[in-house]
Amino acid sequence: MNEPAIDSTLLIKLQTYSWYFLLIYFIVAVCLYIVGIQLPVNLGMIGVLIVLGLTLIKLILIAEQFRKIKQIRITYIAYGLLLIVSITILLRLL
Amino acid sequence: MIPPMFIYVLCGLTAGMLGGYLGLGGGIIMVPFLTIAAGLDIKVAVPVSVTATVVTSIASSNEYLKKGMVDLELSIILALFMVIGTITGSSLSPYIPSEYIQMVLTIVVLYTAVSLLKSKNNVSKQIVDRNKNIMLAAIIAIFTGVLSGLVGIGGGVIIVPVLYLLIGLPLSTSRGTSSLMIGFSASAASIVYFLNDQIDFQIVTGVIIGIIIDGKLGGKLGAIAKPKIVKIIFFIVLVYVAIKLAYKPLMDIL
Repeated sequence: MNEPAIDSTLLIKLQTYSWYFLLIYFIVAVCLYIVGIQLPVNLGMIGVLIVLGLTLIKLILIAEQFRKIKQIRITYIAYGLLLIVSITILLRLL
Repeated sequence: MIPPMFIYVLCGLTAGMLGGYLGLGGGIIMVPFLTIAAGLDIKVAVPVSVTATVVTSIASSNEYLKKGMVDLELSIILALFMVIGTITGSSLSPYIPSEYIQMVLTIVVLYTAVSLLKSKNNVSKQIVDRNKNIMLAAIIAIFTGVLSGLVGIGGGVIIVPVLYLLIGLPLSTSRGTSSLMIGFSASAASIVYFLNDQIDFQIVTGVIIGIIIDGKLGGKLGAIAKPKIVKIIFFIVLVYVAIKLAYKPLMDIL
C-alpha cells in the first residue's frame, strides 16, 4: 500500500488498559456471584455495556486516526458502521 | 455437583486457550461447550458466545496490533459488511427453531475441523488482485455475519481463509485483521441480543472471565506447542462435538 499507515499506539494503549480493567471488573463480578451477594445493580449487565462501550470508543478512535492521515473514505465507512448500529438500536427501541 | 459458574468459567478458559492458539474467536468452541457440557439451550448459548467474542477480540487483536499484523483499512471495510450480516442473523434468530440453528452449527464445526487439518502454515505465494477481490470478500463477509449472528461464532474460521486466499494477506496478518473485525461484528450482534433481552448475564460473566485469563495464555502456548499435534487433537474434539450437536436434532427431525 502506498498510503501512509495509521499510528496504532493509542489503539494498543486503549485495548491494553481495557483488558486490565475488564479483568479486575469480571473477577469481582464472578466472586460476588459465587458467594451469592446480591447487589442492587446487575454487574453482568453493566459489564456487557462496558465491553460494548469500549468497542464504540475503539471504532471512533480508528475513524479519527484515519481522518488524521486524510483517508476520509475509511473515516466515513467507520462512522457508517456506527450509523447502522445506531439505526438498529433506534428501531428496536421505538 | 459442580456449581454452574465453574462450568461457565471453564468454558471461557477452554475457548480462550484454543481460540488464542488457533487465532479464532472462540465461538466455535464456546457454543458447543455450553450446550453439551453446561446443558444450555443453543438460544441461550449463542448470545453469550457472541458477547464473549467481543472480549476475545480486545485481547487477541492487541497482540497482532503490537506486531503490526493488522490491516486496519481492510478490517474497517469488511467489518461494515459483516455488521450488516450480523444484525440480520441475530434479528432472525428468535424466529428460527433451535434444531435448525444446531444443524447449521454442526456443518460449520465440521467445516472448521476439516479446514484446520488441511491448513498449512506457509505464507501465500500466489499473486492476488486485491481490489478486484475485495467485493467478493465483502459478499462473503455479509454471509459470515449472518452465520455469526445466527449460530454465535465469531466468524474467524471463514474470514481468515478469505483474507489469506482471496485478498492475499499473509496468514498472520489475516488472523490479526480477522480478530479485530470480529470484535465489531460481534458487538453489533450482542447489541441486538441485549435489546431483545436474550443475554444471560450470569453465564456471560463466567465465560468472559475465563476468556480474559486464558486468551493471552492460549496465544503464548500456541508459540511453543507443536501445531500438528494440537490440530489433530482439535480435529477429534470438533468431530465429537459435531456428532453430539447433530444427534438430538437429527433424531427429532427423523
